[in-house]
Amino acid sequence: MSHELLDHNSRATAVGLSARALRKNRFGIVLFCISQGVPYYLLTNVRYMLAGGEKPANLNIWMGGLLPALLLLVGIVPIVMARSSLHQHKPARAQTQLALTLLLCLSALITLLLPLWYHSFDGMSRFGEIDLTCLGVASFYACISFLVVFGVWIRIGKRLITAENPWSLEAATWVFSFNAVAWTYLFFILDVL
Amino acid sequence: MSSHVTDLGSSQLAEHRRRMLPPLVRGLLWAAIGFLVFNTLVSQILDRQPFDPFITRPSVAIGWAAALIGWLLGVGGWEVIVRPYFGYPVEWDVPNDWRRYFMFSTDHKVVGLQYIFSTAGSFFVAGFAAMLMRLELMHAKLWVFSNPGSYLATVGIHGTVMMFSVGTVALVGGFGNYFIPMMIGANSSAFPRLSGLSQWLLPAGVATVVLSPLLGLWDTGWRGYAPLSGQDPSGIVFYYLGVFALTTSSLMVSINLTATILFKRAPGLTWNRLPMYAWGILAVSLLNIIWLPEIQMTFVLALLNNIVPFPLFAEVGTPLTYMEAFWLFGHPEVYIIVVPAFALWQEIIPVMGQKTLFARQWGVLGLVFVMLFSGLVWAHHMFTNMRNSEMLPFSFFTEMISIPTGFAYLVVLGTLWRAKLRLTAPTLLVLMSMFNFLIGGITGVLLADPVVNLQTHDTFFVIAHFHYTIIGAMIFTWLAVAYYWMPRLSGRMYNEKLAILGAIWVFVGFNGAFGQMFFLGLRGMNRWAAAYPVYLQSMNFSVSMFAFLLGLGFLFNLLHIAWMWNRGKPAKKNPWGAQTLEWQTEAQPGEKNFHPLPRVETGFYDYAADGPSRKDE
Ligand code: HEM
Ligand SMILES: [Cu+2]
Repeated sequence: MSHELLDHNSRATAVGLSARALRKNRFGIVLFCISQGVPYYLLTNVRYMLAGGEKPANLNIWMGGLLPALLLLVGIVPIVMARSSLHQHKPARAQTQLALTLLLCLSALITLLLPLWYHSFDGMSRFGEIDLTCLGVASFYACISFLVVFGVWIRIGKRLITAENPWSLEAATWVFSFNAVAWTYLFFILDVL
Repeated sequence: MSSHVTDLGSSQLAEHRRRMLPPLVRGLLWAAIGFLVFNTLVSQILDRQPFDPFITRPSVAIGWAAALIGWLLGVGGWEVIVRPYFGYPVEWDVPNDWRRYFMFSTDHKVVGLQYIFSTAGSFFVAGFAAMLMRLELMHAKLWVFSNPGSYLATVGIHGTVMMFSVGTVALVGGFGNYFIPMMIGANSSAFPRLSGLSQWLLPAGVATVVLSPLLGLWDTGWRGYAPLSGQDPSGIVFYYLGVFALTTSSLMVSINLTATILFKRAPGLTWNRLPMYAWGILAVSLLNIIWLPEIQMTFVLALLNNIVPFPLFAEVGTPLTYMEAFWLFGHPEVYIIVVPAFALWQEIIPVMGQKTLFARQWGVLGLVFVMLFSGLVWAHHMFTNMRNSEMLPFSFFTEMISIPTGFAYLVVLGTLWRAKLRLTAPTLLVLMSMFNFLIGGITGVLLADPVVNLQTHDTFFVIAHFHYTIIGAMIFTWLAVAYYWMPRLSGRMYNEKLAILGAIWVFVGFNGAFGQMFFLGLRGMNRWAAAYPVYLQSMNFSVSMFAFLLGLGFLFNLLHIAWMWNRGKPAKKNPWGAQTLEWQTEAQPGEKNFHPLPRVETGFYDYAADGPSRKDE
């Protein structure tokens, strides 16, 4: 059997990560989040180039705005709590908490997708255009966050993520929080400032 | 998690392998299924269009995404990533023979070689396109291509594949994946599965770009300018999608190699002992991590314009928005290509001269500052599109960037100074590379001057300039390291005479072709034109002759390397007397690099003060 395979299994069976491996993984995921933050910077610029500070009069601050931002931000709480449940060897409770995050994420996704579908601004207008772009990007990342957290939910159920081996949960927390913060940021740029 | 992962016996694995299609075949099959299902779903059910075509722009985009996922899973992502994710055992046996290069692998040496093969393959595919272009340009009127569109699609494929699958990748995903872990004394890269996955995006991306004419002859060139691209035939959809796959691949490589350099260094390998190549890879990785997502976002928006349609870039009122976004990435991109080459000069010359690397810290500073400055100069690609009053800062910073570039250059010159240089093929190729880069760099400084730029923009002067930097510097260095590391890669030595012949051959071909292009440009030869005024024909004819010579020269070097890979004389363990760690191990793909991890006690670039101190092992 090749050494490559051994490598895999030893990784898979290892209980917990060394402190260095954990730092390495954290670094990797932070690097990923930084790289994914760049498009938001681009969107900020496009928003001002495209529409200046313009905000249409009939702007609905809730749908596709504050509502998904709040839902996503609140969703960070249970996923962080799930970490400590896991720590106390209560995987079932961790799963319930993750389910709550998932529910919030799903509601956020709906409040993003609905305005994307029934866009109330002319898609060809300046504000309408950047609004649609931002909603699209946010919906995409909300889907990604959902899938990542859902995967973790399944894996906790299978006891693949445990108190000794909680890294995947932490990674999911990073991704979920990144999306929550990034959308909130975009919401401010788009609807508030 | 342990309870779910049981080790399968090797007989069971062999059994599994027998049951399974070869991974490549399975990947293609799953890709085809993914494409058919999703394309049909979109074009026949979700989004039927008038006259009910089977392939529409939205359907082909969705079908492509499904095909890509099918491909990645089929070549091994299913067994190596998805199933273990859900706790199933890893049923992925990588045989210890040639087959390992045709399947998903997490061994950094296998991934490195896979990247080396796919970049070399891309180079010859795109090179073939270049030969067709030169054939066409031998005559002032259209004669090889039946219409200008097919010529332009060829130019676009050539440029796109060369930039995103050769220039950005060959020295990073290729030699970087193979050598960086070794040079820092590690046994694997930081995220081996990520790395395995990234490699398989490359062939998918290249195939997408190369097959794009099936959907229609797009004619935007490698820059895909929107909103103009909104009027392009549907092939442009595959341009954006293909480049998306290619850039994602490079992004993953960069995240992986950065984490590798930061976290996998052997004990004792402190920051001021870090190999120069590792510095170069760190610098380009940071550029990749910042600028690739930026251009990906831009491309997604331009893609949406072609499938929704969603005319964002037309909305802004001027076509400049896309250009800004493109060149914000585009200029760092050229440093992504050339910085690893600088770093490799600094690896090879001290070894070949057995002389301490001159002013090493300045070399590092040079690499880092080139990286930082590269984000400040983008608009020198757009002088023809701006007001005179806006040009100065861009002109200024572009000229300033030659200062840190000069550091990288002077470090090598200082090392060369009075060195008793061994004139091997790698040495010669590095020297040629430096010569070429000097010409590319100086003409770059000229182009940064708006007065010159307004005259020469979009002429062959520009073509000559960037090929001097890309082929002249980066591709020549690529050849240099191919020879330099060949004993390490294959355990065999190339033939020095043939290699030197190969080097001179491409040097003559290259300078003959591209040197003349400067003058061609000054005389008024435009880029992106298949037909041109007759007075330019004789010079174009001569350029084409040298270009064919160059193409044959690359082929000659390839054949030489391929032949010697198996037939060359067995090489000594450390034939050049280098001190970097990759020469301290003879591990081949499938084996561990270092058994106990090495302990690093000194830097790698200090040689006895005067004259060759080379101890023959
Ligand atoms: C093998 C020798 C090569 C020859 C003979 C060659 C020749 C050419 C020619 C004739 C053009 C088109 C000029 C025009 O009509 O506007 C071109 C464009 C280009 N080449 Fe090369 N080339 C070679 C290698 C390379 C390499 C190695 C790279 C990069 C790694 C590269 C990158 C590009 C790019 C980016 C463009 C612009 C394409 C576009 O804007 O659409 N070339 N080349
Ligand atoms: Cu530039």
